[in-house]
Amino acid sequence: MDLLSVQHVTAGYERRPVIRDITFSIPFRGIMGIIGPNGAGKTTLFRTIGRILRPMDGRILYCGRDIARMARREFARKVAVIPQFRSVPPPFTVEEFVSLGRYPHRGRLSPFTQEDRRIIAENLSLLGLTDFRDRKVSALSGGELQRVVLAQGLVQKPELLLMDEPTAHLDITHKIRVLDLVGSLSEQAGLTVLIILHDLNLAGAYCDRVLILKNGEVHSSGAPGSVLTQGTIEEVYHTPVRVGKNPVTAKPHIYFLPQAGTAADAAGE
Amino acid sequence: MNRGVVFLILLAFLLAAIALGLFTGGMQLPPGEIVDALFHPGSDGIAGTLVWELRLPRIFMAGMVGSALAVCGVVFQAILRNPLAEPYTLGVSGGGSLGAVIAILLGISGLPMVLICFAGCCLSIGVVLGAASLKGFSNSMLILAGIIMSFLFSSVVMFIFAVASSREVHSSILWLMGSLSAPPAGSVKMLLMILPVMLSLLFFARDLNLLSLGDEPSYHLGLDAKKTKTYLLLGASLITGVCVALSGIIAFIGLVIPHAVRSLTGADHHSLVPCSMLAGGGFLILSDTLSQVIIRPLELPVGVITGMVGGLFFVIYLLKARPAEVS
Repeated sequence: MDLLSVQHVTAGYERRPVIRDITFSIPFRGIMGIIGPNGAGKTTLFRTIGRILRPMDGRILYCGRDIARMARREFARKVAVIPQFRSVPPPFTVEEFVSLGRYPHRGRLSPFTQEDRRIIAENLSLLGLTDFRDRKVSALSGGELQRVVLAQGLVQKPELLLMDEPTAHLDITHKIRVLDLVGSLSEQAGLTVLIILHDLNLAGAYCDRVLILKNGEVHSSGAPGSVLTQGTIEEVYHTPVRVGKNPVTAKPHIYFLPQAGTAADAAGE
Repeated sequence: MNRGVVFLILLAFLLAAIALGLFTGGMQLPPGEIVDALFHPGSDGIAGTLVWELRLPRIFMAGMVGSALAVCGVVFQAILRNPLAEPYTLGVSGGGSLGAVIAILLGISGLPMVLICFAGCCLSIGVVLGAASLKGFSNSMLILAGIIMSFLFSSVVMFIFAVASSREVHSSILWLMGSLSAPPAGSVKMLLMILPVMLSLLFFARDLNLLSLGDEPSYHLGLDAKKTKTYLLLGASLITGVCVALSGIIAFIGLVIPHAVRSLTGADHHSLVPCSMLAGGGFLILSDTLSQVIIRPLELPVGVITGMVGGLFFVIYLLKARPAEVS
């Protein structure tokens, strides 16, 4: 059995489907990337799996159970969602903000236990936030805030972590740091990760499996080496590329070919 | 600042305000007589009547209304995620003023007036929450519906002013400014009825923390945001409606107290909710006492005092706060 199985899901907004008849499954452990051009339906799919949108058709099974039938708190104990964070959060301190991630595990009136405090402290230090814990989240930089949001998701102790473009506004240092961390959590703690990435090279470098969406449908899926090919990428993105290998990791690496003065481009077609 | 310390300071502030309200007022009596009357309830004499029938009910009412408006302000600011939100944002005050003005026009006073006014509040709550529920209680829909209802009701009030006699207009305007001077019989009972709803808000600190992140983040942390929002909005609106019906539109408490307390306690509602109750109650008791002595033997509507003090405080707070803390 797979951890999550998406079966013939159609979903969208105000009766207009954005994604149609999507079927795929996420096995236990590992990182699965969703890529695809703007408007392909990545975020719609993400929001459907995160239970913000209800599928118009089809269903999503979590360990064999329909997620629509799971209680919200139970779902929140198993699945943490890191959306693209846009709005400025209220002036919680970093520690308070991260602690909110323990709420699904505690009843309305039960105070945090020793275990909660340990998990919170552990994740603050894992993300290098221990020194920040009394700072106001409303006064953090984009990179710091992204780490705080990730820490909140991790203290939920989820089995599945959904991330929508977690590296969008980060510099290269923080991009690599966040993805390295996610990778090591998946390897060592058995966390399963579903991640939307725009950067194809990051997807190639970090994902065990890649799902390509195009026009609201699954175009292809599989290991990065078999999916991130010149043919597929040019077909999906309508942009000429060449695919090579990272000299160190041997993962696929995509080279873009700027249009200005590229006679070689025409020759390659 | 440590939360426990903040709580104790605000508790002391509330108790000090109660004491001040008990010993000062429109009529001056020696403190000894007041203490004496306090420990001998039911005794005859001016002091007994003053303490037990005028000052204590009035202090109770000011304390309840003040803490109710403050805590409703906290709820509305958390749910609507808007620093300008206050208990009147959803148009409760508009419906209430229309009810009150109609009652004044018809020569109705006392408890019947309170009930007409409360009916006006319920009308606007019903329309606003009903309209917003069609759009899944989205915050922008709630705020827009509230503003539109306020405008609509105030236009009708203006229309009534245009055709009413000047005496009626004067007493309406005095009412609109908010006053605790002549609480009708039954006020204390009505306030006791909303007390459980108010106290129940103490148990929603966790939900308010989640809602203050926004609807979607709160879903992801396991909250049934729609259900919780419905209860909290309805509860807070009804509490506000009772306050408006009993004391008119007391300005600024519901806006300023939550911000002031938040600057001391931070954004965590576990301390923000109880501390705002204490601060709001103390502040309104203090303002009400001031309103009785400032132009003795006349009385100012307490709304004038809260508006001025609150406005002044807000300017100072905004100038002193760092940008990140304003939101």
